[in-house]
Amino acid sequence: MRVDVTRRGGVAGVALHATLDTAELTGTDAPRVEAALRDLPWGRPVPVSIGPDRFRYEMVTAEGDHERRVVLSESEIPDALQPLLTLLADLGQIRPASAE
Amino acid sequence: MTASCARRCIVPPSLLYRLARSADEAVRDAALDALVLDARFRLARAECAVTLRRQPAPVTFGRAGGQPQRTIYDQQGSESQTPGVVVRAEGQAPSQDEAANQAYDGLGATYGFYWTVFERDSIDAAGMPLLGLVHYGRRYPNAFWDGAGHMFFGDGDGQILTQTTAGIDVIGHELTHGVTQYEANLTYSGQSGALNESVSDVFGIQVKQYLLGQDVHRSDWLIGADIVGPALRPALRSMKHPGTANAYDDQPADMDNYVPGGDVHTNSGIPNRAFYVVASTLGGYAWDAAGPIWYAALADPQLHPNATFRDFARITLRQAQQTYGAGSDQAHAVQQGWEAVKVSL
Repeated sequence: MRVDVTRRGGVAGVALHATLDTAELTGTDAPRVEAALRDLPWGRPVPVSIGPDRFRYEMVTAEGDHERRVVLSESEIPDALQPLLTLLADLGQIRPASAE
Repeated sequence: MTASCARRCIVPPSLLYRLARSADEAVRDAALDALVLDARFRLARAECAVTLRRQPAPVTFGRAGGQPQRTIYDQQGSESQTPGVVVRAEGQAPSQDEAANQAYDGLGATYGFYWTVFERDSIDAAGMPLLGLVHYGRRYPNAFWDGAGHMFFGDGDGQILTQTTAGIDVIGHELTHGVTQYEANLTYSGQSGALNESVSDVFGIQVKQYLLGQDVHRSDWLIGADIVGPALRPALRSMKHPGTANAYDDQPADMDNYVPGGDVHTNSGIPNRAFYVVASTLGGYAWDAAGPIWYAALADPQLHPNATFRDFARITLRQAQQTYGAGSDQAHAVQQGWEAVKVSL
């Protein structure tokens, strides 16, 4: 399962982006992450504000021709997704704060 | 109150108008001066009467102010938002943990700045205890104020940020988000969000300058220079030259380059530079006049949560005019600051 992950916010004011594949995860992580991804509230309205300098995560995935998107505050990230965020930290590319 | 003020304050405007038509030049000038001052006070009173919207502060007893109440907790790598193990409480000797000591000192320096310069007793102006939570998360590259009395410090990922407790300006920045929350409560998106960010940089840099005794010319006006990792060196933001702090810095330096829909950390470069221009035009220390003007604007009842740059700029100008006079150097410097970043007043 491929997912575009962008972390925004934080006092540093830069974005961190990676296109990740759950196949890159090891052992039991992959099915747990995929299950957690499926359960995310895809398509819900973007939160207006989540508090100064807090991280927020924008996730985009494709299902056939249909693109799904969700923005989560860091406090909403389920524990099961932590391996995905570790992968983002390891592989992510820094981008300017306002980059698409 | 001076004798001259007492005379001015009790003379009714009708008498001042008559005196202003006097043939005696000295009497005429004095009456005109008094009328200008009188009009300024009446305008301020009228504006306050119409727009005062904030709740009066609760009366607190037995607290003289001037002394922070700090407690530093070790989160031991957890992302729990509940305070962990106490490592240093107010008045205790330094701990073995350097991060805890830096957080303790940074909270104290920020408290001291707000108390000494503005007589503000902590974040809520009512003696709120300052709780610092260090070693939050694993290699967490961030520091934040949670809006509920806690400042969280990550150890950094070593690339984007290093140990965040080392940044005195960043501690000032985060605690100022708390001050803003208790004052204008600027909405954290769009221009009001960029103002919220900018106000935190404005007072964060002053906390650092105050601690180091730096005047406006000795300061580097860089935010986060002490906590950036190699990927973002030399700093997170430059108030003097927005857009030049690191390879990913996309801050505009004026309204011609405003980024519609941009991140609050992007467009904050515009009011950041306005403050830099005001402070450097006036010289001396940033907290001599520029800082107090910005602080008065932040606390002004007319500054609404959804304020634009222009709204804020106009309030800073009015505050400068009311405090220092319409023709004062301070008022002119404020005009120059906003003109430099192309925010029309």
